[in-house]
Amino acid sequence: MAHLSKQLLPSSTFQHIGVMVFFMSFVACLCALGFLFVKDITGKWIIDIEHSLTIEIPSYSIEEEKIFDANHISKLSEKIRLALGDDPAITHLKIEKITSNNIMDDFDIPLPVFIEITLHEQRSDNTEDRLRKKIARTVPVAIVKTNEEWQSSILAVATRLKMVFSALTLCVFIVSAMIIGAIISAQLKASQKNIELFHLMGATPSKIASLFQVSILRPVLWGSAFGNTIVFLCLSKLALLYDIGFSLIDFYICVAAITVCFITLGWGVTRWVVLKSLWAMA
Amino acid sequence: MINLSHVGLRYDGGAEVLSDVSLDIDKGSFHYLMGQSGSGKTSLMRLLYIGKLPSRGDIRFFDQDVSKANRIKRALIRQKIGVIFQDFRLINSLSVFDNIALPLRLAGLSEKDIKDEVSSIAKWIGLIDYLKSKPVFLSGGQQQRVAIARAVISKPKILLADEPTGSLDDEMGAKIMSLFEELNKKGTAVIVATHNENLVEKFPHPVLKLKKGTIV
Repeated sequence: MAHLSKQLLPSSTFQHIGVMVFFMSFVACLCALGFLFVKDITGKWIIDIEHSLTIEIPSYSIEEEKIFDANHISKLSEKIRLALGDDPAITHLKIEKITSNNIMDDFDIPLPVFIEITLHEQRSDNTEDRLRKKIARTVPVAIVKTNEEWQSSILAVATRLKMVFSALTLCVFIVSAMIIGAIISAQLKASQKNIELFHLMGATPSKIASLFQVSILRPVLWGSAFGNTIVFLCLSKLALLYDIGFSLIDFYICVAAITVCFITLGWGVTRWVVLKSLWAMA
Repeated sequence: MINLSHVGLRYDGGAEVLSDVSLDIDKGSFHYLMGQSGSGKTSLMRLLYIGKLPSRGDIRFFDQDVSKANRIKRALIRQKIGVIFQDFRLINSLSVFDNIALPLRLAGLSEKDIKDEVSSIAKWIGLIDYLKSKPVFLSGGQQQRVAIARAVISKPKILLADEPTGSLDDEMGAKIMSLFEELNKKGTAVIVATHNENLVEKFPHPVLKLKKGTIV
């Protein structure tokens, strides 16, 4: 098969596909890397925020239309600490004042106080609601949010980023498929006479398609391997110098998947284009 | 072996180039196909090597209707047909060896068997010293011999030859005709399209005459 394939299509025929796959594979690897990076970061956030509540004591009341002074805010935060301090559902309570005197120098407006509460892992389902009610009774102006609610906008951005990376990877494969299809079509036209001869000698359309498939296997493999290796080497070097966050195993799996995708794509598109073109023959 | 029944052929909706052609080619038969230019010889040959399907009528190869056979079956029938094209249709990027070996490679023979077969036929046909050459460096006669070797190497059941001796000298022409007769004796049906009256006289066989797309 390899011999026949070489006879129908000389080795230089598909070097363009190799170069294209090299670039596309490189881009696909970078997209996969971006996806993994965002996934890892958001994954860590979600683990950290699962058992947390944050209470904000604002420095300004919209309803009362007044600015609280720093002492008042301090008293309110102390009130909350006393009310929640002995609650069995809470494992840790941390009051975070933004500045030492809690007053901004330039405008003389106090800054809000944040109280971070870590909840017991084995709490009951209604713990959060119960605590919200308790805080509302103690300090009505306090704003209670889960950390998920606080970070919902940044999590949405992260999700969108992951979608962008996935869409980019998909685009890389679609563009690659189109380029492979165009190169195969051009080659089919260039080899028209030889293909016709093979056809008249009894080669089935499937056999002719497989000759093309064998021919593109090598450039796709080499292109993909080079593209992936460059990203792989850069990442390995980075992993030695810095904590890149995510497991390299995940990246290896992505690299393998990208290579398999390119081979499958190359084979599938080639077969489809060749069979479609040979359909016109008797 | 081949049965044509009221066959007609037209290209792209044009006028019929073959009309109402009916003929039977039996196993071991030898026919000449003669006719003036434009009589439809090439079109009939095209139907016989299944390069085209008829516009009307039936063609049966080995009791299979080619119009109704699927592509795989048609390909299998083509493997049993050896064709010598008038323009040789050699692949110029390949050596003489690879050109001759093509049908055997398509049939999936081992490289050792291919080497033996190609050497044997190349020796017989006088091309043994040219096996590594590219066809473009050969004379017209030598190229024709490569085309003949390629057509007969797989010992086809049907051999179609379009002006097979056109570029050959008398001695080589006679040698090629002897090869065809030898294959014919082993059961290969041979159809030779030619203008050469001398050839028909020297190697007499039934003649199919085409006139304006019809067998007369």
